[in-house]
Amino acid sequence: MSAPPAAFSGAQVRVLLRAHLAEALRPGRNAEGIETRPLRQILLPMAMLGAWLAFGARAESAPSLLRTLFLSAGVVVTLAVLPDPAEAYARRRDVLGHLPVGRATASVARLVFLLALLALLLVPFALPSLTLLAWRGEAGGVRVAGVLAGLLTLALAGIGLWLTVAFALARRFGVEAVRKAASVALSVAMVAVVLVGSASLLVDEALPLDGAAELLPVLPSSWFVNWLLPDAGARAALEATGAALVAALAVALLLGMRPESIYEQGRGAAAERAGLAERLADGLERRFGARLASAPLALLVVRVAAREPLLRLRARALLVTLVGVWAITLLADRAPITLPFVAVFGLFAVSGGALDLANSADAEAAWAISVAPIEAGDRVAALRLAALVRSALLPALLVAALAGRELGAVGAAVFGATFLAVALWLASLVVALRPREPLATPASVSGGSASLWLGTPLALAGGAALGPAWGFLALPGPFALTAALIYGLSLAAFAQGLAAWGAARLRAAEARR
Amino acid sequence: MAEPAIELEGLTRDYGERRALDGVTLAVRPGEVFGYLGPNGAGKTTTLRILAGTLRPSGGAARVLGVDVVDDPVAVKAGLGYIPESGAVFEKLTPREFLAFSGRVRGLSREATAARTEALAERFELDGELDRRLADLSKGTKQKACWCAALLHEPPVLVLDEPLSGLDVESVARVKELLAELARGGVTVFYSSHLVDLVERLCHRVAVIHRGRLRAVGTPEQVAIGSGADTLEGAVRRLAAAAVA
Repeated sequence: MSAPPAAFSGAQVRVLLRAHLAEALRPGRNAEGIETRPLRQILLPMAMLGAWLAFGARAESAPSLLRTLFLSAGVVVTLAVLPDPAEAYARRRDVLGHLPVGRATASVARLVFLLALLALLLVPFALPSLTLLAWRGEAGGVRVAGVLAGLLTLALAGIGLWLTVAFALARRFGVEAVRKAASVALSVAMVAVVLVGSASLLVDEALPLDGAAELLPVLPSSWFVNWLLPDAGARAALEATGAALVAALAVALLLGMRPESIYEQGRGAAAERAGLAERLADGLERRFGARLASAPLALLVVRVAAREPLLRLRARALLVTLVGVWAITLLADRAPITLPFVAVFGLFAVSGGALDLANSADAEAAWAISVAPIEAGDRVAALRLAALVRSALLPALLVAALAGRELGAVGAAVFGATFLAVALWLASLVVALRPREPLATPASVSGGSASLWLGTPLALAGGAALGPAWGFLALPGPFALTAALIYGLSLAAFAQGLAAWGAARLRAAEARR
Repeated sequence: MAEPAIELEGLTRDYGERRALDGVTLAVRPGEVFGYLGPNGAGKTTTLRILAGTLRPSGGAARVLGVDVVDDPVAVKAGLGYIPESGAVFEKLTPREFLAFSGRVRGLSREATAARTEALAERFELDGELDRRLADLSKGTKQKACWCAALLHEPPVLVLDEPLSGLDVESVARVKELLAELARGGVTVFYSSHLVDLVERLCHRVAVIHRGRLRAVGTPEQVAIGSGADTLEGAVRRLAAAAVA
C-alpha cells in the first residue's frame, strides 16, 4: 500500500502543471466537442487586439499609453479566464480526482498553471505597445520587465477577485449563466479595444483618450504601473503597496478556492430561452413548415447554431462590432467611411454566418438530418433561410438606418431592400461554392479562418453588388424604388440559379459518400 | 407471396481498397423482426447506413418497400425509422425540440407531432425530461429520445443499429414488448446487434454476416442446426471461425 499524500509536494506540482498545460494547450477537442488549437487561439487574437490598441493610442504619451494598456489588459484578460464548464470540470475530476495529491499541492499547481496562462495572454497583448514605446525610445529593458511584471500582478489580482465573484454568482445562477454573461462582457470589452484602434479611421479623430487623462492615473489598474512612471508623484509608493496587497489577497483567494460544491450541486437543467433569430425561425416554421421541408430544417439549424458557444461567439462578436461601428459612425459629426463600411461589414457577417452553418460541435448528430426525407434543394434552401434569419436582418436594419440618416426615407428603403437581396445572393453563393450538409462538419476554431479567407472576398463582392443602389438614388423617388425592386428581383433570380447549382453539387457529393 | 419489405441484392460497398460488404443478398418479409448478427467490423452498420440512405452502395441494390435506395432516397427515408449505432444527438436541444424536427420534417402537423411526442415520451418514461437539454441527460435517456424520433411518424420499416445500448433493464423489457407489438401491427424491423441472446429471443429470423459476406440466414434454430452448433451464439462463433479459416 502506498503512503498517504504529503501536504505539499514540489514533484507533484510539476507533474500536475504538465498535465494542466497539456490539457489546456494541446490541439484537440474541448468539452463541447469543438476542435481547438488553443495556442493559436490565444496568441493570434491577443496580438491583433494589442496591435489595434497600440495603433489607436499611437499618439499618446508613454504614461497615458501604458495606463490605457493596463486598463485594457486588466479587463480583457480577467474576463478571458472563465470558470470551467461543468463537462470540463467533470473530466478533470475523473482524470485527476482519484490521484493521491494533497489539496495544497493541487492548489499551487493550479496557481502556477494560471500564471503561465496569463503570461501567454499578456505578452502578445502588451508587445505591440511596448514595441511602439521602444521605437520612440521610451522603454528600456527595465521598464519592459517592470511593465510585464506589473501586468502579470494586475491580471492575477483581477482574476482572483473575478473568480471569487464568479463562483459566488454561479452558486446562485449556475455556472453556464455566469460563463454566458462573462463572454458577452468579454465581447464588449474586446469591441471597446477595437473601437479605440478604429476611432481615428472611422471618425477621423482619436477618441478622447486625453480627456480621460485625469481619470486614468487613479483607476485601480493604474496602481500596478504608476510606480514605473515619472508623473505618478508621491502616491505611487502607496498605490504600489495597495496593488501588492490586492494581489496577495487574490492569491490567497485563489489558493483557498473550492469550486467543487458548485459543480456537484447539479448541472444546469433548464432549457435555453429562445433568442430573436430562433423565435423568428420558429414563426416561419409555424407558418410554412407544413408546405416547405426547408422550414423545419432551417429552424433546427438556427436553434443549434444559436446555442453552440463557438458559433454564437463568432456571430455575436461580428454583430456587436458592427453595432459599435454603426454607433460611432452615427454619432460622429464627420465620418469618412460610414455606409459602405457598415454594409460590407454586415455582408461579411452574412457570408461568415452562412459558412458557419455547416459546422456543429455535435456533427455526429447530423444523421438526424441525413435520414430525414429532404431533397438536396430543400437542404440548400434551409441553409440560406437560416443564414438570412440569423445574420442578415440586423445588418439590414443598421444599413437602412444609416442610409435613412444620410439619404432620407427613399435611401433607407433602397439600401435596406438592396442589402437583403445582396445578402440572399451572397448566402446562395456560399452554398454554391461550398455545398455542405447543415451542421455535419465538426466545428473547429480553424472554421473561423475559413470564414475570414472566404468571407472577406465574398463580402467585398457583395459590397460591389450593393453599388448600383447609389445610382438608383440619382433617380426621382418612385423610380429609385422601382429600380431597386427590379435589381433586387434580378439578384433573387440569380440567387435561385446559384442555389440550384449548390443543390446539384450537394447531390453529387452525396453520391460520392 | 408478399413483396419483401427489405431486399438486398448483391449489395457491395468498398471503402477505398477495403471491401466492407461483398455481395450480400437477403429479403426481409413485411411484419418480420429480422436480426442481423456479426462481430465488430463485419459490415452490419454499413448495411444499415445504406438502408437509411446515409451511405451509397458501391454495387448491387437495396430496396425498401420496393423502392430503390439510390433511385429515390427521399421516398425510402419517408417510410423509415432509424436509430444509429452512435446514438448521437444535438446536445443543446431538448428532446421535445429534437422530436419536433423529426416529426415536422416528415410532414406531421405541429399538433400531431406534439401529441405523438407526449404519447411516446410517456411510453419511454421520458415525459419528465422533455424540456431539459439533451446534454444534461444520461446516455440511456438520449437513446430513448432516439427511439421516440424513430417511431414518431409511425414508419412501416424500422432500421435499428444496436438500439438497446445504454438502456436500463426495465427499458429493455419495454422495448422488447414494443417490438413484438410493432411486428404484430405489420411493422418490419431490421435489427442489428452483437448481443446474440437478445436477438435470439426477439427475432423471427436472423442473418449472420462476417467480413462483409453473409454466412447464414434462417430462424435461430435453423442457423444453429445448419452450423452444427447447439445455440445461436455457438453458431455465430463457428461461422466466424469458419470464415477466418
